[in-house]
Amino acid sequence: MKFESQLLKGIAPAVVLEILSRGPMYGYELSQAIEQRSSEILTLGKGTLYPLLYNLEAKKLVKGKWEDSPSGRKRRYYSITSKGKEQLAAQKAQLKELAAGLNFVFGRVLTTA
Amino acid sequence: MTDEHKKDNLEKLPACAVEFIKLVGRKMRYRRSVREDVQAELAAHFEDALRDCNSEQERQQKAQKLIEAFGDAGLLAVLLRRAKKRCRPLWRMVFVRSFQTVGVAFICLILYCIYLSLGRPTISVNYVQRAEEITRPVADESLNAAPLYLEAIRLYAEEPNIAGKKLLNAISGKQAPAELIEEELALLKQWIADNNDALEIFKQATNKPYCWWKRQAKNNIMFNILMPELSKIRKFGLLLCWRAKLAASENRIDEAFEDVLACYRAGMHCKGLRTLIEQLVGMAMEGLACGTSSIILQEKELIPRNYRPFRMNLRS
Repeated sequence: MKFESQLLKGIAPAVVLEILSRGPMYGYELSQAIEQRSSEILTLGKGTLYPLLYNLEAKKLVKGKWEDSPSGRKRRYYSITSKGKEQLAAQKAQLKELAAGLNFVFGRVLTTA
Repeated sequence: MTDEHKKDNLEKLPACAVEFIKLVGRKMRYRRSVREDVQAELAAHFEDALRDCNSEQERQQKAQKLIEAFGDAGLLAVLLRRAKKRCRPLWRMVFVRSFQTVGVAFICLILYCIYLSLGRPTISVNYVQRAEEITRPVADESLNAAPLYLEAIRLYAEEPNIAGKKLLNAISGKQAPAELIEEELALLKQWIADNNDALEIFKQATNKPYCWWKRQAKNNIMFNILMPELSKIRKFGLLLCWRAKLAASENRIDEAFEDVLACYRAGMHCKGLRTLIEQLVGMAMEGLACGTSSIILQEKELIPRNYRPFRMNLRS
């Protein structure tokens, strides 16, 4: 399902931070992880991924580091910072509230139907 | 990351991917090290995506799809550049902004200098008229010596030449008529005689209480003020002094001092609220008159009683 870009725009940083909170990853690995863990519901455009990562790095929510990958190639691994963890916790709380509110709204509509 | 690794990543990719990555790097228009890092990261992403391809054709197709997924190279480059710029430390941002500010200020300065150098000044105030208003005496025009000076200048006979030089230049080092050679003396006397009428009018002018000229200036610019009469007035001063010396040598002391006084008064007319050049000419003429009177006094060894009228007139 193709979502409205504005809908995904707000949650993309939270999704990336959540995935990175489970362990450092490089760009390609991150984009695959987002698809797999959302059961292919969420897909982050390739043109959005790297600018988003650099923006998060500029805000000091993630930090990047060149490392040798298991295959022997050098990859830039991104890991979440403590500031990023705080931001993630705050955004998760907000999204939970939002989800609860939407459940009430759509739940009532569905019940009426 | 080493250069070797960066080069290695690009070499193993399909040509379309390499071209795309290089295009993004070029359009980023940022520091070389940052561009190379971004290119290396994109190359690693392509490499990972194409790892499981079995054939070259499959690699090409998958690379093409991935390029389409990345979107427009220019837009991607802009987004990457903006994001990377946000990663700059504060000190670097301050340095860059300061440098840019200085650069812009310097360019503005250059443009302003060019504008100034190409411009033409426009005079909004007529300073010539203002100068005339300041210097014009509040007095009857009939008491103005300027018209008489102009009349004398109109009647002025040009000085003769001797041995290829003007007469006054030829005798400039000589103080008294006794020092002149016969030819010089004859020419001098003839020249004075030719200018007798002019000299009389000139002396009448010196008796007037003030002298005021209406100045002409091209485009009303002070630097362009014309004073053609000044040089003639100075010539008249020299003529009067030589006539005075000749009269003194012939024992016509009163006539001599009258001429000296006329020269002095003409010098006073040139001074006052005038331009610097006029004042200098006035001072020169006063000096000339004083010098001539001292020569006469030395040569004739006059007793004070003889030149008392001269002293009284000079004092007044």
